[in-house]
Amino acid sequence: MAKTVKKKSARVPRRKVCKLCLDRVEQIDYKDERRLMRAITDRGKIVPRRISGNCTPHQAQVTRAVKRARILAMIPFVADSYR
Amino acid sequence: MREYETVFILHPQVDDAGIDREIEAVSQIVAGGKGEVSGVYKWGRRRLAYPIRKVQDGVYTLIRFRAEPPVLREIDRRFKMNESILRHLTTHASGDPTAPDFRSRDRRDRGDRGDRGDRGDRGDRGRGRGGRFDDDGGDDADEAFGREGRRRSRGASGPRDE
Repeated sequence: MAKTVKKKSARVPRRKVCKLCLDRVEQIDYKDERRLMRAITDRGKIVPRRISGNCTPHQAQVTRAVKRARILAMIPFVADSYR
Repeated sequence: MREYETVFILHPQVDDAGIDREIEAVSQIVAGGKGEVSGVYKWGRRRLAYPIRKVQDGVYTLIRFRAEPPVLREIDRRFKMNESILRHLTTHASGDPTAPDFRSRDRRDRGDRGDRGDRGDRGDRGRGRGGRFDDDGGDDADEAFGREGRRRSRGASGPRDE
């Protein structure tokens, strides 16, 4: 019985944990290019919290760092080519 | 007095003497405002993520210093007038001031994550958005994207890509 119920429901939302909290990252630095490359899509957009699973304080830090790094041309505002 | 750091990008045609001249100029402004420079980090020449004033490369330098706010304003004013400075940004000092490419942390990161190489044929997962959401490689998030992410984004950003 339980199985049929499970099949019918569209999907089971799984709890995401903030990766940055797990790694105990205190500060996200705009100079930390490697990390920032992971925080943007290959289009150059900031990965939304719903996908990344970041907690609010961390996502805010990521956003700020990405925007600063863009100003310094370390990461693109818009990536028009796939890497 | 707070500690700040300012990063500036020089035009690639500026020679080494020119770089030192700009560093010296900043140092003097800081000293003139009763501040003190605590470190200079030359990142050197690197490729820009997008062209600025039709150039593709820039020479990066980071300077750390302690100073009062008027000093920051003066630095900003001078940089804006300076034709050979493509970009500059001043923030509170934080993190590792050395050039991003040479950090040991990065190498460790790469070691941890090892063989992510052949995720190449993940096919139509990101269709309609052109995005592969890379979030450290946990498959929970990847799955979430496969289901909910794709559905939600369809229409919203689809037509813009390609």
